[in-house]
Formats: sequence, structure tokens, C-alpha cells
Amino acid sequence: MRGVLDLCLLSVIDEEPAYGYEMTKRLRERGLPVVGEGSIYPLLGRLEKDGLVETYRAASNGGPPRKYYRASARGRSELAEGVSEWQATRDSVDAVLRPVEAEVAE
Amino acid sequence: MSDFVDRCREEWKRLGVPDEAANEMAADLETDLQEAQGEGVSIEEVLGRGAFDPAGFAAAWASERGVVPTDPVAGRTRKVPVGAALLTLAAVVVFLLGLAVLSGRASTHVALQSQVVRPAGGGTVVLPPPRLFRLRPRLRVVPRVAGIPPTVAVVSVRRAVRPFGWLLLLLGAAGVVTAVVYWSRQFAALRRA
Repeated sequence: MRGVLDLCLLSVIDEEPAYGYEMTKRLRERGLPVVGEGSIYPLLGRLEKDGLVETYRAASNGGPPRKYYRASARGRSELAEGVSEWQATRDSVDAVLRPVEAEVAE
Repeated sequence: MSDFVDRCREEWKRLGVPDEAANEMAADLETDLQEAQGEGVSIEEVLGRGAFDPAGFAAAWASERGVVPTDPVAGRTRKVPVGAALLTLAAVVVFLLGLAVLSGRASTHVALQSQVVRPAGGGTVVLPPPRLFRLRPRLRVVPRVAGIPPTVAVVSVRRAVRPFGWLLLLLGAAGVVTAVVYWSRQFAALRRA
């Protein structure tokens, strides 16, 4: 799931830059409320270290300056590749599980 | 929530995370947690299981971000051991110098020329050196040489520098003992890290 969470984070900030808690909210709105062990912060730290995200500071709705994250060019490339792999994996798993689903339906 | 951030700070300090990175992470985390609290969202919903383990959460974040020094002790004290190493070397040198002075065989004597008296009846009488110099164990009486005053102070360099040798030895020994204690603590801290 670690790699999948990376993809989810890259995906939400590819649409629009966001700060840490804002990302948590976006994930929750899309049905991913539990981020699991260690939350998103260590993941963001790794994405930043690996050059997959860029950061900048800006005020948020008149509040204190926040650290915003946005996908870098390399991050977007990794995201596209990761989404493609995820879809291929999902299709393969779906194909394996489809007979089981049919049995349960009957 | 600030307790949680304080615990994170303690962990980052223990790990040797640079102040700039630690301050930035602490400020971001505190602001996020305050916003979540204002919206009625619990810290567990924001941080997941990390909410129950601030030290683990802080360590994971700093580690993933790449701001944990590979050698935290060395990172904090890099300047100190250089000075300590020089002082240790100096202490050893002083100690060895003291040993050399105390155990050295080389000594210099300034000879006392004898007073030679030739009585009118013939023969030669050699007078003993003045009382002061007779007390000196390393005094030597040598035949007089023309052109040089009859008495010259007798000094045994070896005896003269002996107190200085003891001083060097004691200073050096104190320095070496201090250095041993210091380096023992350094190595113990490294092992704990």
C-alpha cells in the first residue's frame, strides 16, 4: 500500500497544490480516511527528498504561511507510470476474483 | 496537541536533526493540528497510529525526509573532538617530556677551577673549593687554566631541571587522565547512538 499511497498523494497535489492537512482532508473526502501508520507526513518527506514534489511557502486563507506541495515534472511522470501499473494490476486481480464474485452473487 | 509537537521536537533533537529542519516540521505540524482541532478532527484522524507514538512518528518523518545525520553524535560534536585530540596529544607530549627530563643521563657540569698556591718553599698546594661549592655533589675540581678566573659556579643541569621535570610529569599525567575520561565518555555516547 505504501506505493499506492504515494500515488494518491501525487494525484491530489497534481490537481492543485496543497499543504499537509489539506491533503489529509482531500483523501478523506475521496473515501480514504485512514492513512495508516505514520500518516502522510513521512511519505511527503520521502517524496520531497526523492524530488517527486516541489514545495513553497504561502499564506492559507489569511492564516500563517503553510508549506505547499506540488508535483514536480518527475513526480508527474512517476504518477502517470504508477497509475498505469495500478490499473494493470487492478485488472489482473479483478480477472482472478471475478469467478468468486459470481459465486457469491448466486 | 502542543505536547505532541514538543515530544516530536525532543526526538528530533535526540536524533541530531538540524534546527532549521526541526523548526520547520514542528511549525507545519502544529499549524495543521490546530486547524484540525478547529474543525473538530482528532489528532488520530490526522496522524493515524502515529498519534500514539510521537517519537516513532517524528523519527519516521525525519528519516524519510533525509534530515537525520548518519552519525548524530559526531554531527553535534565534530568541532570538539578536534580540539580534544590536540589537547590529548599535548598532554602525552608533556608527560613524555617530563619522563625524559627525570630519567635523562645527560648532565652538564661547570667545573670549578682549583686554587693553586705555590709556597715559597717549593711544591704545589691545591686548595679545596669554597665551602658553598663543596656542598654540591657534582662539583669537580680541575686544574686551573690560565686566563680563566679561579672559581666558576658549578651547576648540575640535571639537578637544576629536576623540579621542572616533575612539574611536566604531573601536568602531563593529569592531562592524560582527563583525556582518558573524556574519550571514554565519547565512545560510550557513540555506542549508545
